[in-house]
Amino acid sequence: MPLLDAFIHLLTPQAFVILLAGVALGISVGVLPGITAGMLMALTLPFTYHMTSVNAVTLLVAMFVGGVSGGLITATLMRIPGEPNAIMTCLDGYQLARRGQPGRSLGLGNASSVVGGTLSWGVLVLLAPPIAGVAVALGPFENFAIIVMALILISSLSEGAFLKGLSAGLLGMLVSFPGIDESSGMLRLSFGFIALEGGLNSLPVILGVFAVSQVVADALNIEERTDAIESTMRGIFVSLRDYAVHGWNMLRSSLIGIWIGILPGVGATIASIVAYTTAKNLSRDPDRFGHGSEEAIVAAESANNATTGGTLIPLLTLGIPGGLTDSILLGALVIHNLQPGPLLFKNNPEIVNTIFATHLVAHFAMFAMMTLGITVFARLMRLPRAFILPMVIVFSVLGAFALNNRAFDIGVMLAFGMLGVLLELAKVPLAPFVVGLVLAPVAEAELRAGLMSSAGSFEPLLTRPIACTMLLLSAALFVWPFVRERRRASRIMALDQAGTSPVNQGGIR
Amino acid sequence: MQQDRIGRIAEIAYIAVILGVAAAVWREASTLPPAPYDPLGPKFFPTWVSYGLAALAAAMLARLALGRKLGRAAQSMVVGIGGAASHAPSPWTAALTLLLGCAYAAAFGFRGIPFLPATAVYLFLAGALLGPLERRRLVVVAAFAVAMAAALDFLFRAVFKLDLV
Repeated sequence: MPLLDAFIHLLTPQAFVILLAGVALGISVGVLPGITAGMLMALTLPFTYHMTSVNAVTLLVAMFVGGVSGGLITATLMRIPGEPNAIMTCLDGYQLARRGQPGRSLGLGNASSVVGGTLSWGVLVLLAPPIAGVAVALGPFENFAIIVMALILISSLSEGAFLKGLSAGLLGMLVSFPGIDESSGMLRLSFGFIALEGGLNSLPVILGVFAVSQVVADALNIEERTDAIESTMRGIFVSLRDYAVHGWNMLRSSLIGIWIGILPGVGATIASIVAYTTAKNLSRDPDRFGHGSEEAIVAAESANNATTGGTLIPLLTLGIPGGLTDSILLGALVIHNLQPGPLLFKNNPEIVNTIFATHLVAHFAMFAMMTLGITVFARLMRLPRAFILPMVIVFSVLGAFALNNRAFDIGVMLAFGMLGVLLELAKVPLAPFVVGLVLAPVAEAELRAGLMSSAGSFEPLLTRPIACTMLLLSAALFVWPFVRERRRASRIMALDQAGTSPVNQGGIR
Repeated sequence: MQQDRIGRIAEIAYIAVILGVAAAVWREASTLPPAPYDPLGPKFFPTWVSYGLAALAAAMLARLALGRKLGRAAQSMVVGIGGAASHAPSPWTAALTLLLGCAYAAAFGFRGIPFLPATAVYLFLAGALLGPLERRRLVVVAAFAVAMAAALDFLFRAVFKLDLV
C-alpha cells in the first residue's frame, strides 16, 4: 500500500473514526494529570486484538500523537504537566493564562504543536525509507551489536542513573526468557511452575509496570489539590501574522525536537527543555521567559511534538525505541506480530505507510480538536480521580485476562505492578526495562543466527566493521557516565577550593 | 528528607531484588543441559544476563557503601512518586488501593464472584477510599459504580466476547 493509498484508507469512515477516537483519547489522558499516553496504549492494547493490524496501528499512533499534545492543556490551566514533556509549557503557559489570556496561550501552543509535528513528519518520511534500505543489508552480528548499543545508549543517555537503567534493562531481558527455548526446544526457567512453561507474555508485564504502579502513585498523592484557570475560546485562533512572527522559532525548535527525538532515550521532555533554553538564549527579551513569554510556549510545544516524528525513525528502521512511550509502541507492534526494523519496510509496507499517514493526519485532527474542543477537554481536568483510578485497575485486570482467558496473567500483572512501584520508589528508569523485555528475544535470535553461520565463532563480532564499531561505541557509552561523573566531581572540587562553588553561592549544582 | 530516606530504602530493596533474581536465574539455568546442535544453548543468555545483573547489583551496593549516589530517573511515567510534594502523601490510601485491586483481581481470576457485582463493589469501595467519606459523595460513587459495572459488563460480554462469569 503506497503512502497515498494509506491516506485514502485513513479517510474511510471506519479508519477515520478510529483515528479520531485515538487522538481524542490521547488528548484526554494528556489532560488527566498522572495518566499518560503510554499507559493508555498499554491498557488499550488487549482490545486491539479484535482489529486488523492496520486499524490497531492507526489507533495506537493516534493515541501517541494525541497524548503528547494533551499535556498542553493542564500545563496552561493548572500549571501541572499532564504529560512530563509539557513541563516547560507550565512555566510560561500558566503565567500567560493567569494574565487573562488562557485562549491565547493554548492557541499558540496548539499551533506550534501542529507545526512541530508536521515538520517532523516530513523528516520521518524522507529519512526512514533510506535508513531502512541501508539497515536491511546488515547481518545478524550487526543487528545483535545494534541491540546491545541501544540498551546501553538508552540506559546511559536518558536519565542520569546509568547503573539503575542498565540493571532495569537486564531485568527486562530476564523476564523474556522463561518458556520454551525456540532453537533447542528445551524448557527453561520455569522454576517448576506449569504456568511458566508457556513463558511470560509481555502485555501483563507492561500493564503491571505502567498501569498498576501509576494507580498506586496517584493514590499516594490523592490529597494533592490544584486550582484551575477557566479556559475560554478567546484568542485560541492564531493569525498568519503570529506564524510569521514565531516562524523561525517554530522551525528551530522543531529541528531541535526532531534531532533529539532521533536519539534513543532522550525524549520529548529534554527536547522541550533544550528548545526552551535555546529560545531564551537567542531571544531579544529573555527576561520575559518564565513570566508568560509567547516565544517560550512556542519553543517548548514545537519541540515536544517534533520528537514524535524523530523518535519513529529509529523505532521503525532499527527497532530501537527513543523513550518510554515509544517502548510501549514497540511492544504493541511486536504483540501484533510486527517486528519493527528494516524488514518491516519490506514485509509490511502497508503498516509503515499507515504509521506515516496516521502521524500526519493525527496531528491535523489533534489541531482541530484542541482548537474547537478545548473547553470540553478542559472540563476533564475536574473529573475526580476516585472515579478514574479504580477504572484503570478494572481495565488492567480485564486486559490481562483477555489475552489468554487465564487467571495466571492477572497474577503476573499484579506482581509486576508491585515491581513497578518498587522501581518508581527507587527512581529506576522504566524505559530500559521495556526495551530489554522486547528486544532480548531478538538479540538472542540474531546472535544465534550469526553463530550458526560462523560455525560457533564469536570472531565476526570483532572482525566485521559495523558490528565492531557498534560494540566499541557501546563500550564507550558504558564508560562515559563514569568519566562524566569523575570530571564533574573534580570540577566541583576545583570550584570548592576556589570558593566559587555553585553550592557556596546557593545555586543548583 | 523523608523522601530521601524512602528512596534509599527502596534502592536497597531494589538491589536485593535483582540480586535474588540473578541468583535464582543462575541456579535454574545451571541445571539446563547443553544443546547438541545449537551454538548458544538455552542457558547462555540467562546465565550471562544473571552475571551482568549480579555485577551491577554489586556495583550499586559498593557505591552506596562509599556514600555515593546512584542517580535517579529524570522523568517518570508515574507522575507523583518522590516528587516535590506540596501536600501530605497518603501511604495507607496507596497500600489499601493496591490491596483492593489485588482482592478484585483475585475475585475475578478465581471466578468466585460474578463480574458485575464484583466490579460494582470494587468500584464503590475504591471510590469511597479515594475521597472524603461524606454521605452525598458516597451516593454518587455508588451510582457511578453500579452504572459503570453494568456498562462494562455489556461492553466486554457483547462487544469483546470475553468469557466472564
